[in-house]
Amino acid sequence: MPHPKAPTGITGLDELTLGGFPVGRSTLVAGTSGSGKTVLALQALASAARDLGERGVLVTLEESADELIRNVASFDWAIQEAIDSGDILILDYSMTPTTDVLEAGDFDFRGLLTRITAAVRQIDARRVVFDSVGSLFPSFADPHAVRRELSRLMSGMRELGVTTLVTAERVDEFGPVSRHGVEDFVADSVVILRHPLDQETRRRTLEVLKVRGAQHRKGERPFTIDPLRGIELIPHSAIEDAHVASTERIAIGNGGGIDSALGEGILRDSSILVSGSTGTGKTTLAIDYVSAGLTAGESCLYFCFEESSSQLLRNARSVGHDLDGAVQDGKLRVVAQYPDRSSLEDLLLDMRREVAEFAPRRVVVDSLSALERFTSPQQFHEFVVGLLSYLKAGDISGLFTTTSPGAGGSFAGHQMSTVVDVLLLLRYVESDGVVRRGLHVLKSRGGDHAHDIREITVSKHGLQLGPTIREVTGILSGIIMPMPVPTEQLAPAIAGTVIEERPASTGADEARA
Amino acid sequence: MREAHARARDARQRLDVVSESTGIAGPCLRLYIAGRTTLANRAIANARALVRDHLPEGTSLEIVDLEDDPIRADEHRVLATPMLVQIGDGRARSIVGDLSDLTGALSGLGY
Repeated sequence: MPHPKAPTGITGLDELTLGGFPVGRSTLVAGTSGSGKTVLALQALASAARDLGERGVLVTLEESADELIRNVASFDWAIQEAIDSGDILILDYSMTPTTDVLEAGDFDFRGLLTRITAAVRQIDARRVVFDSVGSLFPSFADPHAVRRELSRLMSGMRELGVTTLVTAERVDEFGPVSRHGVEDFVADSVVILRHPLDQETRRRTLEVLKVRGAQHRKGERPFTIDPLRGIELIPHSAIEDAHVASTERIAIGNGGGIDSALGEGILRDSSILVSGSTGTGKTTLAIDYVSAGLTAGESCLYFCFEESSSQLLRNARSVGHDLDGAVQDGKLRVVAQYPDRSSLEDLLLDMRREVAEFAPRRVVVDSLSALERFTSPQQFHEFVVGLLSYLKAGDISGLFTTTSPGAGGSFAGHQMSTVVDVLLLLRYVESDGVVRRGLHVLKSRGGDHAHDIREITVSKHGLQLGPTIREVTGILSGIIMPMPVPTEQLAPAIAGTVIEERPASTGADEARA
Repeated sequence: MREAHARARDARQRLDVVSESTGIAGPCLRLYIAGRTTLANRAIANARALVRDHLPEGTSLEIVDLEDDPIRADEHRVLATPMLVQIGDGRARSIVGDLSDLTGALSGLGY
């Protein structure tokens, strides 16, 4: 039988540990200064008191109780209420400058153990937090003695049957687990918090290093410290496991031909990536998608990162979609903001909150390029996966636009192409001395889609698909060249090329995508 | 000597706050222990010897066993035990350990 777990109540962390930390055992939360370990420990304590009715004892060894509580007072955990009502009892063992402690002979930590034991019995506590044990070491000459006594203290906690969180400081982000080898005695579970500099921004991550006698999910997980809720982990694709794949098909256009090119629309929980250079009609396509949703009675949420809400609505009117009424009726919400450099993790949580609150069936993010500019590829990938999995779990369809450089447009190496369900490429095509706009469906999961490049026109009736554009190639590589001899033999010479009128049944381009 | 033994036995039996005083007002010492462990007993013996042989007459020694009254740990934030505290005006001096290091203990108390 697996060991029972004590939930932390922290979004994402309990999924990671598959339920929480082992009941009656101790868990080490290690991190460099400012990594959020105290926030994590206090948040778990407050959450247990408020949400589970499990009382707790907080032992402060470094900062004074007043300072500690002041630092977390702005979070909405109701920790002060829990202290006032006696659900959280604080034992202040912080070192004050007015006490000199000298050593003269052998000692133990029975004084502390006795005091904690009394406190645990007094309020029938189930949780104990020590913050932070590292600060004990400078007070005593012999670190071995401190380790020995901390080890005994942890045995004492185990005998009391309380679930214990111990914070400890790390020196390096990627060095030893903790400064004084604390993990050797608080060894049941270990969580590491990091916040290294990454592309000029601090990137916070949490890693569950081990959970003794129980399984947990591996790897570093990004998190953010929300000013109200505290620590929130960015969900991973793990959520998808529980998701039942949709079989319902929905239209993304308004009869302009795009849905037939996709193979009768898309699956309800699909994500669509629209890539193209400036002016190829990405936003028009997104507006069409929103309009089709509204027609089907679905509410839509539009994240507009590159223009204002009124600009978007004006653009919509110019392509024959008056969305003002839908905004007034509350069927469409436009969130227009220019994302700042702060953090992609925070933005993701804001967006998830917006989605949770508005509960749309369709979400547009226009455009992702606005975000890609100031983040590392890894952060961007985590953001995209986090958003996609969240939408998928809610059975929400999402459309994302991204601006590709150059007139041809390309997906070559684009990291999003593997995680989305539908890939649409918009591009300029020059043929016969005329610049036209073309749409190519590169991939449509679960749909028998067209493989040709279709001309698109944007009119006051929205986006219309025209006939197949022939006699050009290089669409995938972004290097456009005329097609001199349209024979199959030439095709392999141009990497990643899809030539006109290839039989749809080969599925070769889908595999490449 | 017999009287001292009797007092010590008395202290063990009551396991409570025990004040030992010569009757003349002098410095106040308090020894915190947590249970009658070997370490605690050694500390009590050393503290008594310290008071008897090295501290001014009138020095009082109070022994507080936290197992009997854990809340009393709060006043001086007793974490490590045994802990000897000299209670005076303002700054309290604390010495952690069984007082086997007599020189250290004395200098810690300011003698």
